[in-house]
Amino acid sequence: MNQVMKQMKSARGLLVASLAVAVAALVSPVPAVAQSATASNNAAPSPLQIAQGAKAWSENCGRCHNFRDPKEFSDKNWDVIVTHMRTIAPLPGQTAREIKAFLKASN
Amino acid sequence: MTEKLGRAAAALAVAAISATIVAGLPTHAAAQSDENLRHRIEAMEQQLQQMKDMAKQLDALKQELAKTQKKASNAAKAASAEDTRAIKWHLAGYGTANYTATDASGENNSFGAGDFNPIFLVGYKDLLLWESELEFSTLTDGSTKTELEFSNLNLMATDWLTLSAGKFLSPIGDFQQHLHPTWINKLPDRPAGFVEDGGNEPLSDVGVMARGAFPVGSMTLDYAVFAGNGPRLADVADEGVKMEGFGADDNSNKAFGGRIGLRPLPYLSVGVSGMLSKIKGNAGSGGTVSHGDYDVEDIDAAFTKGNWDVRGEYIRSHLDSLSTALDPASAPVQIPASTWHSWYAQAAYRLAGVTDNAVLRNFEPVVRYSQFDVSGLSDFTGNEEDRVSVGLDYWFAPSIVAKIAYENRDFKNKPNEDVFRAQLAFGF
Repeated sequence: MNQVMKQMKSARGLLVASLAVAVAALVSPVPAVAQSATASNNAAPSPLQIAQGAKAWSENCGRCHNFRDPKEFSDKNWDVIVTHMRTIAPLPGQTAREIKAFLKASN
Repeated sequence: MTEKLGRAAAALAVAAISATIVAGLPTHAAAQSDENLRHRIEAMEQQLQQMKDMAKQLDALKQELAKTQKKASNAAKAASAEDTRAIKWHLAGYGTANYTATDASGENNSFGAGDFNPIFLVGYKDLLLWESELEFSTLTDGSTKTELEFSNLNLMATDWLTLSAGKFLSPIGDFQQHLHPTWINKLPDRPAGFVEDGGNEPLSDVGVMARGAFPVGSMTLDYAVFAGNGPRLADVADEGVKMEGFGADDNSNKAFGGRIGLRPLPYLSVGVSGMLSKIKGNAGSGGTVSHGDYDVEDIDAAFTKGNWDVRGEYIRSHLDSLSTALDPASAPVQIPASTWHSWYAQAAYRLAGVTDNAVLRNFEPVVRYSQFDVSGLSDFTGNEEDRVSVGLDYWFAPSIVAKIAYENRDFKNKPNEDVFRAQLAFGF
């Protein structure tokens, strides 16, 4: 294991790489703050979005913990919980919205 | 004339008799009719009373219905309002109860008080999220210990970028950030070295962070970069470096760190992370102290497919030589450069993969090997350990688990221990 770590790039290199990724994300052509704020939780999701949410749920939510039953929480709860998971997992915003749509359609 | 009168009298008599006869028959029939009529009237009165009672019941039901309709209307209105409200909140968290039996000299078998970790989540649309976790625990003297595990504001700047400020869980590695809550951790304790005192896993920091995730083809890349107040040396040397979010910095050198994670497949994730910081020596009685570089490097991986959960993590940290007091009463001394290594590998399998039995399918055996090695200052080496953990979990629900585990703790600088642990955990 030590040998593996010795071959790892230095922590400085990692930081530079992380910063580069963050800058790339910052300047990415995805909705900025104002648009993100208007992304409503209440717009009726399409069947496709719900299906994509089911797939994203199955691929992401079991990586750390057991799958939670959609019926455990209300729509309002899922809105906040999935946003929390978006920040800590982390998840792309679009993926988080699809997972919300699936959970809210299934509870 | 007399004859006429006689005929008339006879006729009258006949008529009278006839009338009497005729009258006698209808008198009996009328009596029966009266009786029937009386019965019918009584029946009708009963029916009328029943109808009145039913009308009363109907009125009462109408009133109840009106109340119910009003409640339903209010509930629907409230629910609708909840869903459209800009600010939403949720109380999450977990609770834990423990039992530990050990053959360690001087230690007693003991129940652990129910630790309580409420997590407050408050969101504003899809734009902001405030998240704070408290930890309440009971100390051995019966007093209650309260800690702020994390508390930070998150701005969802774009779909791929979240900006955070406050106290946050360290993004170094995977265990502390994602796996340490007791309803997620498969075993009742943390791996060797992945601990608060004397270990080398960063727990939290106070500062700012940018993190997010985005798709790269069919894969997902996630990242985090942060700047924080960084770690400090513990007041007591054998506790090593403290890396639990200090509310103020003891020098102007901030810690910088980050993590890059890649999910090449939905069930496979790998991550590399690291931190650069400077640590100031502790002041003692006289003398001078100096700063030393303290760096952390970490690699983690997880395979979570079907009923398998296999994961591991390695942390290396290094502190340069510096001048510091080993305890508050002594003068600073130059300590040698020191290096910490800790790692673990863990595998768990849910028996639902081999049986449909309603009880057996909820069991999950777990094995873990963890190791903690330190080189350098001898005070730092007290917790060096090789640990084997074997456990069995029973899942009552996806976030309610009972665990039992046996540990063999092979210390390098003190007698070995055999430990039995039991734990109940509930995530909500």
